[in-house]
Amino acid sequence: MRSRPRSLLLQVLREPRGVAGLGGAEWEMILWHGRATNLLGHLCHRFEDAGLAGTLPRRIQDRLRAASVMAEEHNRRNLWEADRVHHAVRDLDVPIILLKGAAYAAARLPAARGRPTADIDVMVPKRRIAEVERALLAHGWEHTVLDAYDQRYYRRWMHEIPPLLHAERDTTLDLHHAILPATSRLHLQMEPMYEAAIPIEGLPYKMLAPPDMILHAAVHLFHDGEIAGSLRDLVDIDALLRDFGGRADFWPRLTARAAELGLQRPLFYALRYAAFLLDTPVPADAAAEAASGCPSRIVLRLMDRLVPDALTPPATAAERWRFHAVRFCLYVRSHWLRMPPGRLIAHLTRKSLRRLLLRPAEA
Amino acid sequence: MILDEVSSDAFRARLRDGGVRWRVGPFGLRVATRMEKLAGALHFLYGDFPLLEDGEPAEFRIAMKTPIGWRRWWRRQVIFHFDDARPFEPFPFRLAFPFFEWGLNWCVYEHAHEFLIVHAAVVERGGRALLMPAVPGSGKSTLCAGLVHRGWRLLSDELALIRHVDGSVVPIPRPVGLKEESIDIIRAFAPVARLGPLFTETRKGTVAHLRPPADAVRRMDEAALPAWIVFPTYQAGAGLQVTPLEKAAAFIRTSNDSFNYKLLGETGFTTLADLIDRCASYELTHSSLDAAIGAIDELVAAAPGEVN
Amino acid sequence: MTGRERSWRVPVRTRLLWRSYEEHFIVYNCASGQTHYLNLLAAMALQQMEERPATIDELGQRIRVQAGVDDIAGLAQLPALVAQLDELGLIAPTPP
Repeated sequence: MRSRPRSLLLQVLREPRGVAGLGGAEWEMILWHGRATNLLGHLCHRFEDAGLAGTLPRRIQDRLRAASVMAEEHNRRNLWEADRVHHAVRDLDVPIILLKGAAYAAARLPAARGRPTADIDVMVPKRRIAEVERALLAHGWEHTVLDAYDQRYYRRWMHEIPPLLHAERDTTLDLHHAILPATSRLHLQMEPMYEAAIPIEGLPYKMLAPPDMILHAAVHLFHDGEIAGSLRDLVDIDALLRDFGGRADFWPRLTARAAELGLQRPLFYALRYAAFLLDTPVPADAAAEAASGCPSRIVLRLMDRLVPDALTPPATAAERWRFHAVRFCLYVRSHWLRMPPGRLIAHLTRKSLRRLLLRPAEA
Repeated sequence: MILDEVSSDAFRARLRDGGVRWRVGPFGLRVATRMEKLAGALHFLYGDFPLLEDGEPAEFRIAMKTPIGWRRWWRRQVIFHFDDARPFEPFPFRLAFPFFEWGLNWCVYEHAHEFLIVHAAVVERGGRALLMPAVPGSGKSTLCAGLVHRGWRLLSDELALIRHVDGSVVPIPRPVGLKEESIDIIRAFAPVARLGPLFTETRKGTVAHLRPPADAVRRMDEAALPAWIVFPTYQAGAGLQVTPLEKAAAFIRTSNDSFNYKLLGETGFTTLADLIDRCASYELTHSSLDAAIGAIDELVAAAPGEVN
Repeated sequence: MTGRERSWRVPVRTRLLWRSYEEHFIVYNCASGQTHYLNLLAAMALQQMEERPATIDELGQRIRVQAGVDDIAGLAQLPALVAQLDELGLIAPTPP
């Protein structure tokens, strides 16, 4: 691969102690990029872990703490939403699996610290979805208004019902029964993940087993959405790997599980780019095992060109242009992965009218 | 060095070329713009504020820009940039300075969670702060502008910043926004008051800003413990009425007037509860600035504020 | 199990912060992030269930004992109050 993108934020994520002696302009850049990537709260905790919090300029400490406070509130909201979902379905005896941020928060994982989230993601078995949806609607959730095309798209092809909105609390709930769309090129069986789900201590929900949690995060980042701008998702993966990586047997279990579920490709990307951008420690034999997920040389070269730039917040005008170009390529890729080519064009045209990137235009 | 000590030309040039960095209360700003009238308003209304030192970071980066394309010339607009984002719809070009003030409010109440932030004017005397939570039509800004010319120090016109750690109010003595009749009232009430440009046809009618008294800006690092909360209501033709307010009611009303109470969770509850515990709360109905100020002086004398 | 046999409590993992001003009570639920304004009866009921579980009948009895008064007007509304506190997430049925 080429050399790492020059980014102060990435440098600080790799080595928080590198901030000693930084000047005002550099702190401004860290605040700017930290805000843009929603990583300020995370940085706050990293500085605290490194024992640096008290040595930073006072006003910077205030900004970091404030971001951390916002993230704490998001975590609280997530946990409360999970509580309310449980409240709504408590007479149904349905196993609820928390995903992503809600799971990290509920299980008090290091990955949850300083992490703001917009939506809560919850998974239930497919055959129970209809009753769960009914129970939620009876407890204050509503369907968000989507046109008929999107409703059909969600229900038929995606892995979730359209997002549910709770008007009183102004929160959004994503109810999943799988973690990849039915039309995805990556076929994933959900049963093994359900079966392996583990209870969260002290709470009436479950979460994915650690290897599955990481595979889910990897699938989400590299196959399920836009990679561009998702540095925080890579930071999640890094935090999870560092947290679980010390446990006995973890790495062999992770690579074996990826092979078992056919998820070697996303795992390969996750380990490769986390190590490259964030110095995530990956044991050599785990990396060797994960190499079975390596794509063809051409695809790898392309991804190596696109992904690091997509994950690095741009600082200069030139970097911004490159970021938008890379982002577009990856956007098309993400839909390519989700839908058969015929449907892709129809859907992309419609979506692109609404969501295609506009370059900011001003003097 | 304060902004006044930089010539208007130099100030304008620096705003164009990378921006000017100055401190407003507890926050460092970097402001960039090519708009000349805006530069003039900033230079005048923020004249007493200190520039940041070279190594000091500016936590809030604001740029005021005009769009390229036809909007640059017809029904011209101005866009508020924070970092790289544009949090708001554009405003009409001629309202750039009110837009700046409004956007800066947003920067503070969106991000400064080291404080409980109440939508209120705050003034100080004898080391104790008086909060006046805002409701549209309350006349709080007029009252605030009046008080700061009658022996009270301006701490803030819009945003009461209450520190969690000790409950003190931290000053952010920015220009005071006056609407419609208030402009003339204050001109008459305080001839020494220095007012900025007039902006017509804003959403609140005609608006002008009072340059904050130099003394208030010089002392912007002096926090004060709050002692009184007064909910003002301006009612033309009504007499003067001061009613003590029960603490539970004061709690509810103040939490409703707070920008970030909910977000702060348990810390917000504790800071607000301590504030209510510490302060004597009142409702004040008035139709005359003089009478209102007199009433405030009286209630402050009668309940001088606890010494903690 | 009918409604009246159900036992209710403030969940162990829910932390409540209280302030009181005369007969007005303000309680903050750290789990939900919501602030509630309670009258005397509601506050007494909630505090009882914070201490330990109670059925509706037990609740009525404990409130009478705490107040030192037998005939309390609002007690007829206790079932509705408990239902409301449940909806607000302040209490939950005790696990079997």
